[in-house]
Amino acid sequence: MKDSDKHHIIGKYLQTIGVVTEEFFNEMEDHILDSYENRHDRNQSLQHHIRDIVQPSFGGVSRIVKIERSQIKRRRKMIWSKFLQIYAKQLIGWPNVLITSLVILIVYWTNLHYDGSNLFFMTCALTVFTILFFLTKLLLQQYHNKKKNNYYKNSQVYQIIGTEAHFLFLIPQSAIQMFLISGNEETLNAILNSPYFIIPSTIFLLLYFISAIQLYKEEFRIEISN
Amino acid sequence: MSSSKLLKGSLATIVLKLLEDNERMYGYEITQKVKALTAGEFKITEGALYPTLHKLEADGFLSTETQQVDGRVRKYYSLTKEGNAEVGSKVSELEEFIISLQKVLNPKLA
Repeated sequence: MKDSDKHHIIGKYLQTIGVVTEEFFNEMEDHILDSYENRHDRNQSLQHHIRDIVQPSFGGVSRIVKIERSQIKRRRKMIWSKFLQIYAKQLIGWPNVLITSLVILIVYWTNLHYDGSNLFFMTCALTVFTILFFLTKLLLQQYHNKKKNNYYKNSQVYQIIGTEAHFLFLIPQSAIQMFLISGNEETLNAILNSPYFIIPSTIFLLLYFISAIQLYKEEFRIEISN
Repeated sequence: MSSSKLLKGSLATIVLKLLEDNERMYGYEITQKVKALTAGEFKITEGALYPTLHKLEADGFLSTETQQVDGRVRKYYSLTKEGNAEVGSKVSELEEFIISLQKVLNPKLA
């Protein structure tokens, strides 16, 4: 049997049972091929090998899908924990604490001498840029997979960050919510001009932006060596 | 009860120990290594192995790297610094458990 036929059979099988992410797909494909290449019954077809050997050893189709879902869940936790570590390192770790202090001073100074809300909106724009960056990555990858007729839809890392990027909107969203609740433009202006809101929010979002970029450099690139 | 059910609780320790001895391994290789070391007595099911590998990776004990092998992508697992530190304590924990179990099953030896 040709390699391309094997890839097609396994790809179709994994697609049919609902495996959607690149990482788990690759691991399963490699496992199935290894198992098939080392089969006892040399006359066994790949389809029969998957049905009679691979599937039962995983505990059935539902178990395979469950393993993928729990991997995504674990990875989500891992990415967030990594992100919080980077965030804490940016905030209080040495020597980054110097940069943080400088950022705090700049934000504080700007807020004292100029309209602090401008800086806040600029930071919000940076945050939106970060979200759009990850969402674009997610969409581009989905498009690439579709174009290349890959059997999986996307990668776990972009799926996780793409769907959870809305978390970044919490701060600007809360300001808008407050405005909507009060229904009063003066209240919104008061919030946006309040140093108690502007300074911590700007610092929080700026560090979020820096940490997201740092995380991208460390975790988000899927590199395959030859 | 099958050996795979008895093995479940010690699977993480087995994986960590194997990776300490073999530097880096992939999923199928781990199942075959255990089979070979125990002359087929222990059979690790894939349904138990992969969640264990993924959990150890998420806990920071394993790192992964992917490599193109024969036209497919292979994921290798290896121990992180934290994983290396964990192996010793996990193995001692299991050894103590086996000694205690022996005391229960065969009090004359204790």
